[in-house]
This record gives sequence, structure tokens and C-alpha cells, in this order.
Amino acid sequence: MTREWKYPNSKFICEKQILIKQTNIFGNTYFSNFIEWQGEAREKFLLEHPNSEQFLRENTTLRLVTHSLQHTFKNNAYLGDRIRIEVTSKNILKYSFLLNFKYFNIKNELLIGEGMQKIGFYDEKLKGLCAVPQFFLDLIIPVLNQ
Amino acid sequence: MSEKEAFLKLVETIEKFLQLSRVTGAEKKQEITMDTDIYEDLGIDSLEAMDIVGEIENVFGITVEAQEMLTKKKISDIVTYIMQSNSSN
Repeated sequence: MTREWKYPNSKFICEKQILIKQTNIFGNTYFSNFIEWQGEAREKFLLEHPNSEQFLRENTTLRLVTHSLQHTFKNNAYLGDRIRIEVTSKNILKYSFLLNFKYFNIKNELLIGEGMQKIGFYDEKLKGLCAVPQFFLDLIIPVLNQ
Repeated sequence: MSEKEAFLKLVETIEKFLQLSRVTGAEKKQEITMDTDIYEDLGIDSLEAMDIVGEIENVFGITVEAQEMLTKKKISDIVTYIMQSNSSN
């Protein structure tokens, strides 16, 4: 039996520390890391759901579709900097929603960057797009940022 | 609801959707007419079309057959479909 659950906070937060391998020849954090961290933060957020294992096991034909994404670079981040990534949702519709990612330098609270993804769902069994599953609504509705 | 009212409400729904739902931000607003093809002229893809179907259901208070709605390409066809659904609901 799936117990009812809603994400308990108004945003999901995770952290990254800039390592040498993430910097470029100028010592700045290479741009692609911010896209990679969108994916990582998203995954960590989804795994917050206590029923994530069961959901994945029961929905093997469901595909999360990353429809589009965007990132804007606001300030630099360098080796050793700790970055706080805040995930919220936006514009939750029947078949899609937006995830918003904000990156802050923990040292000075400077906004490093901001990004967004549009997420949809495809069911291989039905061969078509499907509505946002309740599993995801449990997570994204509490973090909805109007 | 008259055809004109349905058209204006549909345009408002689509414009609002395009403004809020695309991650690339505000794009140049394109005039929507009865002859506008939502796929060819507005660049709407399959996921966006499904979202618009959902929004039409919310805004017009009707239940639509999503797969049938997706075959309507022109605004005029969608307006006609909405009017027919409105009268049967």
C-alpha cells in the first residue's frame, strides 16, 4: 500500500563544492557543470519521496521527459566554493511542470546562476504522453513558487 | 458563448501558456488569428499541445478528448471543437 506523503518543505536544497575538475583554464567553474547539477539536484529531489523505490519498480514503462532547459550565469564560482542549489517548481499543468534551480555561493549568498527545466512524461506502454503522476505532484506542489 | 468569445478566450489561454510555460522566456508575441496553425505558426510541439488541451479544459470548463483535440491544427478548428464540446457538456 502506498502511504500518502507530501514533500515537507517549500524548497529542496542540496549543496555542491567546486573541485578542480569542475574548473576551466581560467579557474572559473566550467559552464556545463551547472547543467549537470540541474540533473543531480532533480534526481536527489525525486529520491526524497519515501515511495521512490516502489514507484520506480511499479512504473517501468514511464519515462520522464526533459522537454527543454535553460541556465543563466550571474556570477563566477571558483575552486573550493560551496554552492547551495535551491529547487522549486513553477507552472504545474496537467501534462508538464517547470523546475527552477537557483545556485547561491554559501560564503556570500551571491546568486551564481539560475536555471529551469520543463518536464513531461511519456508512457512506453500507452505509446503517448501522460499526465504528471501523483508521485511527482507529491514533490512539486509543496515547492511551488508562484 | 459566441464564436468570437470562444476565440478571444482561446487566444488568451494560448498566449498565457506560451509566456509562462517556455523555459526560454518571453519570445516575440505572434498575432493569433482564426487561420493560425498552432504547430506550424506557433511552433507548438506535442507536449505543449497536451498542456494546452488541459488548460482549455480548465478555462472553458469542458472535458475534451485529448487525442481528437490534438488533430485540430488551426485555431478555427479548435474554436469549433470547443463550441461543440460546450454545447454537449
